[in-house]
Parts: sequence; C-alpha cells; structure tokens
Amino acid sequence: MISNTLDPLSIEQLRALYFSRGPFNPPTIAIILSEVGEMLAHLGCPHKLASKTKLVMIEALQNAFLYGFENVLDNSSIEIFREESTYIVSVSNQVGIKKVVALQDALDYIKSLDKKQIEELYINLLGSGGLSGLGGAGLGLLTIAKLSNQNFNYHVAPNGDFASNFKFIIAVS
Amino acid sequence: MENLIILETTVTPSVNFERNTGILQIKGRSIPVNSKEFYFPVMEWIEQYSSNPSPTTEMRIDLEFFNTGSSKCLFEILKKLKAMKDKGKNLGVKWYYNQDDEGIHEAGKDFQSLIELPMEILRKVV
Repeated sequence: MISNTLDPLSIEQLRALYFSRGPFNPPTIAIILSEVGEMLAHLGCPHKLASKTKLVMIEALQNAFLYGFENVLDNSSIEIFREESTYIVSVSNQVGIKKVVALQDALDYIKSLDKKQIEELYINLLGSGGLSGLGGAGLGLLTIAKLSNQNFNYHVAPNGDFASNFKFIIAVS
Repeated sequence: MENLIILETTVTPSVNFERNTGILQIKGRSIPVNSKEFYFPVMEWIEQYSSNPSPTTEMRIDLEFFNTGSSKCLFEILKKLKAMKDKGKNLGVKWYYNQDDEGIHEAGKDFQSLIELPMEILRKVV
C-alpha cells in the first residue's frame, strides 16, 4: 500500500531534529537547505560540519528527485538526527524496480572502494567529457561517500510490483 | 559583444560576465534541475568571447553550494578557459570558499588538479 502525504508522523520522525515531506525538487531543496542551515546554526553546529551536512543533503535530495518513482503519490521525506557530534541525514523515497537495482549496485560498489579509490573515481568521472543534463552521472553518490567517509547505508523494501521504498542514511561528522 | 547578466535565483547563481573588463563572475547557489540548460548560454558566451577577449580575463567562481550536475558544467567552462589560455590569452581563475567550508574548498582543489590553469583558491572570512 502506498502511504499518502497525510499520514501521521512516525515515532522516528518525531524524534528527528528536522523532518520534511517531499516532493523534492530544486525549489523545495533550496528551502530545506535554508531551514536546516538555520537549525544547525541555532544548535551551535560547527560551520565546517554544517557545510558538509548541507552538501550531503543536496546530493541525497537530488538523488530522490532524479530517481524517484513516477506516477505514484509522493511519499518522500527527509529526517535529520544527531548522535553526539554526528549528524545523520535520512532520505526516503520510492524508486522504480529497475532503478533501485542500479542504485543498490552503485552504492555497494562505492562501499567496496577505499578512500583513495573513491577520490580517483571521482576525479575520473568529473574529468570525463560530456554533459548529461540531469544529474552528474554518479558523481553525487561519490560526493556523499567522500563527505561521509563512506559512513552511509541504505534499506530497500518492496512496495508493490513496480516500486520499492528506498531509505538512504548518511552520517556526517 | 554584449555583457552576459543572469540574475540569481534560489537555485541558480548570478552570472555577471563583462566583456570590456574581462571579469567573469558566477556567484550564489547552483542546484538547477537541468544544469546543462542553465549553463548553456554561459558556455556559448565564453565561446564567442574567446575569439576576441579582453587583454586579461579573470574568472571568479564564488558558490555557496552546487550540485554535481553543475560541477560537470563548471568543468566544461574551465576547459573552455584552458583552450583560451593555450592560445596565449592572459587568464586566471579565482575560486572562493567560505571559511571552514571543506566541501567547496575540496571541490576547488579537485578542479585545480584536473585542469592546468592559473587558479587561486581563496578563503573568504565570514
């Protein structure tokens, strides 16, 4: 069953420092970044950490925007938690079955690389010619890996025949 | 050739390219839906400018944050500037980042390592 935007907040969402529902698109992402920026400043988050957290959010939210499942009621959301000096960004959205497999493969591959390999792959991808228009051809996931020191995880749960619920969890410290 | 001026929005940076002074500035946030679409006129302008540039050209990139689609476009812009430099034009790039903004600082260093251009990475004190 597809949840709709009027669902009550879960316990986990209530525990979050910040919570927002989708849909995510560049204008809403800009608003979320401003709100989170103000919140982190209010919490006394060091500028360096706040900056890294916002850059991770940009990529995770754009990932949800670009790879979200079309033609369903949007149920995407973002939550931000804090555990001691670490901020945890959790972005959930629906992804089509085919896309979710590609996304899992990409994330598993990135997870298998060491820091130096990630740097090299990032530089190679950035320097490879051509523009795809939408997205940065995997650069976003690599940016997340770089900024989080590969401290990320994901969960996938089937949702009907054509889509899966995808949750991307990234820790920034 | 006219200057190129694009006003800043919440998702796209301001672009202020002045033909006569040779100061080309991109400033703000860059998270457009389609980066290629946004940066196309910027690249086109540089293409035209490169045939008859100002005696000196200074590209100033001062971004608060940007998505990876934009970083690909920025790289394409830097490649065009590199082509100008290779033709003997006097040209430099200034990459600005806010104090403690590691992500933007590192992005500047990534570009610096990828392209042979005189590029200064300058910290702004908040």
